[in-house]
Amino acid sequence: MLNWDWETKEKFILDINEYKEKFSFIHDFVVSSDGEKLALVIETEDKKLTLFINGERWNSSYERICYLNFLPNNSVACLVLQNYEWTMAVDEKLLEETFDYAWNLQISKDASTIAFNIKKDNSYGVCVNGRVWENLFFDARDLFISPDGRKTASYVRTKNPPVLDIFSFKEGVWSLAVDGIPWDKNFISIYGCNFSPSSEKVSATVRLDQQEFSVAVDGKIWDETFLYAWEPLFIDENNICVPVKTEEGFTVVVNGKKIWNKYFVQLWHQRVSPDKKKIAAVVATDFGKWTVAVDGIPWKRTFSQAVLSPHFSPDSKKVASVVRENNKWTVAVDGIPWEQEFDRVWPPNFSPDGSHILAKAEIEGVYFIVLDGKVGKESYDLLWEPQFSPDGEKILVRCIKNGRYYRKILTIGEVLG
Amino acid sequence: MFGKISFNRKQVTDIGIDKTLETISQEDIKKAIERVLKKEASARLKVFVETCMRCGMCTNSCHHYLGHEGDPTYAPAAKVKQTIWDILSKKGNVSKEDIKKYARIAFTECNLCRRCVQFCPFGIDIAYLISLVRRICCLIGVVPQYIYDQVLSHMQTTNMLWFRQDEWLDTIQWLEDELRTEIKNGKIPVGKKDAEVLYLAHGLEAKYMTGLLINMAKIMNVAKIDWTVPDTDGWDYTVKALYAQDLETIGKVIRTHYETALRLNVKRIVIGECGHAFRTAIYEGVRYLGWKEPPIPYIHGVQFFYELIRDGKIKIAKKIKEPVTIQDPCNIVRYRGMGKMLRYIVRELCENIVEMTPKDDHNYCCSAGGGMIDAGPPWKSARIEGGKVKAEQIRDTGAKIVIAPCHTCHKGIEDLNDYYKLGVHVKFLLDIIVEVMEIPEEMRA
Repeated sequence: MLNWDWETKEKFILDINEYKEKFSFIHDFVVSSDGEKLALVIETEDKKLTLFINGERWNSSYERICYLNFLPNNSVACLVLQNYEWTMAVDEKLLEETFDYAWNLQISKDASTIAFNIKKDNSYGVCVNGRVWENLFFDARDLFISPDGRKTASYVRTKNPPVLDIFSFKEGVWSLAVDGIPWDKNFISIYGCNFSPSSEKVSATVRLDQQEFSVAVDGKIWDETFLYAWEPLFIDENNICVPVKTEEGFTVVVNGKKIWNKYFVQLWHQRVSPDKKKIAAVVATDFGKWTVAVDGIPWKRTFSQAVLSPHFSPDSKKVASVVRENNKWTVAVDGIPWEQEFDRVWPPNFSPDGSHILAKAEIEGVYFIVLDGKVGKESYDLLWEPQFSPDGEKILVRCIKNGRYYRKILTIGEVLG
Repeated sequence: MFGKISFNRKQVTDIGIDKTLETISQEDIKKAIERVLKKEASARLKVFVETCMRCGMCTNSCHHYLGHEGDPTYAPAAKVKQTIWDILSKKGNVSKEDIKKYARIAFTECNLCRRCVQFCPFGIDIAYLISLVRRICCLIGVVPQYIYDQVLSHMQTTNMLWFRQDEWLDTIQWLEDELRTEIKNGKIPVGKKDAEVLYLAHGLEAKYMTGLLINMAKIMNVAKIDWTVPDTDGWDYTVKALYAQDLETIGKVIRTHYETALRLNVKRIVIGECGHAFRTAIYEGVRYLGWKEPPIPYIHGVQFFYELIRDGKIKIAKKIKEPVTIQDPCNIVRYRGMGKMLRYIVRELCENIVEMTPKDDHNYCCSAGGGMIDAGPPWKSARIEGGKVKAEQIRDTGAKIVIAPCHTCHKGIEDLNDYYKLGVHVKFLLDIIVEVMEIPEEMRA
């Protein structure tokens, strides 16, 4: 992000209209994070698919192109079906190995790891940087990459009783496999996989039986059980916070012990502040009354329809969430909603010093940038989520107007005009 | 009323009930009853128990009572007397034999259709009381095998049939290939962000009834809807945990549906023709999670088709001439008042409509809903017997086609058609719309 071009005011990258006229069908288009590249998935006359990156056509064609992603260096990774076999392509270079099916392509934060779920010979697992896990399973669902990119995990089915064998299923057939090695315990349900910041530990919520839920860390189950538990989240290496249901209601526990004195009708999407000192979560203080609670203290203002995940400012001082009331969306910051309402609004993005908030929003089918609750002067036919520059002075805009894709750099003043 | 009634039933074996009962203790039963009655049941339980005058006004409203030639043990109030009142009068000290009887009544002799509520002078919600009995049974794992299998699948996969993630994605891709043999550049977008509509499918539509999914894709393409299906778990709108009253799994599945929609940033969720899923997504599920109303609009197939036809997004080229009749699924008509919308659609599609008697929100249940069809083969004869009234209603119309906009009604009436030899075809609205709608020439492959 630091080395992105924050100076050029406007770059016209591609006229998509030309491709619409020239080819029978545009299946998809994807934009790189820095906005410099636009990839079009184009169907050619022979019903095959190929890629155009900023107008440059790949030599290869495929039956399908899925999970298209730009890497930080603007290479392109995707899963492709060629000659009825799935594999991964990175800048047209295919993995040697092919699969009966491949899906859920994911890239670690530093792009050191590219992984995806695979099916091969009726067995399931994960392919990591071109190497398939040594152990495969009867099923593998979802994929998680550790923060350092060195570990991968997936929920796996280690037993395969026939359908309707409810007694075997009730004993538990699901586990979490890390780098292909499953925990030594099975559960009737396991979810919310979360790695520790150092990537050394991994936790998940587990259903022990019809009535009890708990949390397992590296396969070891907490002593405490709950009426229900949502997804765990590592605060740091040694502390895990989880929303749990007790007889009094929902609250937050850390390592199984209650830390909030309040109980709620509902509580989920807990987030830890960057300084690790606060926990914010979406809560329902009463039936149909949704808000955000920070360290157990709910905002005074509640919203009747929805409150989405809280976002802390980089200095940990502010919290913003997307909220919905009267069938309109907006953003609430520290409990105060913006006056402007939208048909849709995307997750808020704080400036590095926390003084500004940026979001993409839709009003009557047209997209706008919203800065601190004020709607930008320019409208777009399509808009990707805008981003602050590292110094917070400028904003990267990736947009389509009249079928033409542009990359723009605006100052804060220019957004509002 | 109901002083002494004799409970005579054919012997039925269901390992989900019988074998499970062998493994649980008296203590397990007592704890489950205490949890449900003292900690989970709302004030409604007390009000309903104290209000019922045993007047018997509900008796003739129940298709099971009518289908069993007036056997008083099938009367709605009698079902409550033989279950929740029995538990209360015994102060929770009930035997395994009692639980077996409660499970049979709650899972296989009441469809939770709430027709009886309309006849109760006090509006006592018997479906709620029967649901409490199911909840007690569920907490100790006493659930019909075929229902429990689906619930166990939902617990992890969120779909009803142990479908793996690749199976869903692969199915969508080959269905798209099929679609394109008929619709030029036909598309089933998968995991597309910012679309207007997220379409969720019935689990069976991804495996055994793929024709329905293709038909929906045709409608979406012809109507030029900006739509997508999920690329993750959460694509199956069914929530069979409703039948077992596994509230925790209901919560997980419904949360997954809404959060999938919110993650993809769509404006609303649209589902096909299914009753229980709609009811769970609008009532039980969202309320269990703390919402008073769904966080974003959740639209049933009937509402969606109504909009498309009303707004001219799909045009009808020809109407069905054969006489048709309309099944009113309890979960969308009695619970949600969609009877008028349903009839508007059918009038647009068909020339000759012969209504059942009674109709609309007083229509009878198909006898398959509320989990009865999901309880599987062991209990098939129970729902066929309970469906006698529905069979007579259909026969009396003389219709050749029964339009049933609900998967459960659809299959249940197909079974009644076979057993009672009604000689009708059972169709979804989707089947008929695709049969009669106009596909513009330029869209044809």
